[in-house]
Amino acid sequence: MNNNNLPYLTISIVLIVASIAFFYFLVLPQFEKISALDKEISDLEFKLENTTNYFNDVSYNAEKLAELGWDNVSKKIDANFMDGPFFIHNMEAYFNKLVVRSGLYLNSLSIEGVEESFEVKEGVEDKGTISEINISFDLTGDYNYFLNLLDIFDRQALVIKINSIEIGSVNQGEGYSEQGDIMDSSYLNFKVEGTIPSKK
Amino acid sequence: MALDLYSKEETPTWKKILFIISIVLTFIVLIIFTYNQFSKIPQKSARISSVNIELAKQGTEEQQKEKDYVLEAERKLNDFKKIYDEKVDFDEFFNVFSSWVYPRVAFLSLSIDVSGSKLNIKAQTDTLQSVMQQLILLDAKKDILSYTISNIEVSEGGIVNFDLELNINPELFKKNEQQ
Repeated sequence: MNNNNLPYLTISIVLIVASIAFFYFLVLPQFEKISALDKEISDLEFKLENTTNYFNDVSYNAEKLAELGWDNVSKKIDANFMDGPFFIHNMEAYFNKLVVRSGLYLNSLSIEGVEESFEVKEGVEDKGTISEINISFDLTGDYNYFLNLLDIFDRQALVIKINSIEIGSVNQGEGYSEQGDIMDSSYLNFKVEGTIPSKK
Repeated sequence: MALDLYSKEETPTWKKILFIISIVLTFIVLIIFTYNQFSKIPQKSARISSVNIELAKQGTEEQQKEKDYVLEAERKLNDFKKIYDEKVDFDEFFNVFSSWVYPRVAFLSLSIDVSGSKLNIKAQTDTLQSVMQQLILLDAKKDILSYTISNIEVSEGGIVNFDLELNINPELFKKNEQQ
């Protein structure tokens, strides 16, 4: 080999080798890093889009709830999620009032299944499940007043679920009348059993 | 013969081309490296920072309050819906019930078992003919799935007492499903 040609060839080979090494050891890791950054950006943008959409939806729903007067509705619905040490007392007063409004006479009212002890935890919001409290009424009065009571029950925010009704004459053995009424007496005894919801 | 002391052997073309290629290759690699290092990677890093800043702006105290408000409303509504779906409606039942009674028959007692969709009735009428009419009436009612008559007793005065057990359509106790 001629000495004059040596630098050209040597420099060429050195440069090519150096370029390949440079590419392999420095540029390729850069591309890997860029690819990782692209993935991270894509994940973050997806997360941002989801989060933004989520909070937009939350904001939209909060506005809709406010428009619909949710705060007032919520207060009414709360009648179904009551508990506490005065639950029975409050319910007795409440049902007494409803029966009086119907025109019937309340012989007795029984509320069963309420926990006798009530624990209050400071700063802990209770999101307990819903339980059913058994209620039973013994009532006296007119058949139409009873239908009136059922109508009053139906219009309450508190959901009163009636499981059974027994209707009978107050004076058993009353003579047969041909008045065309469904029941043979206008003075009837009603036994109603049902449940109301309460927070457990 | 003259001696040419200044003559040089020409470098072959392929070596020149190889040299040029090696120079270009080196430049290309250097340009790519520089571009990545000082433009592309900082650009991507800046984008990550800006998205992170945007993300951090989400979930502000006000948004968290709205979220709690909506979630609480959702929970309450779901609980209420569950309770309300189980509610029994007697409107439809008492509307149709009055049409099940033959005019000369009076009920002494009536027991309604909602979960079993069953009615137990103690009834009284003046003649056996009226009992037959009552049964014909019950036969004609589509909401009465089956019935049993028992304890038919005719008293000395001619009054007929009898018991009825009716199995009725449970849909009668559901809201807005019977029109």
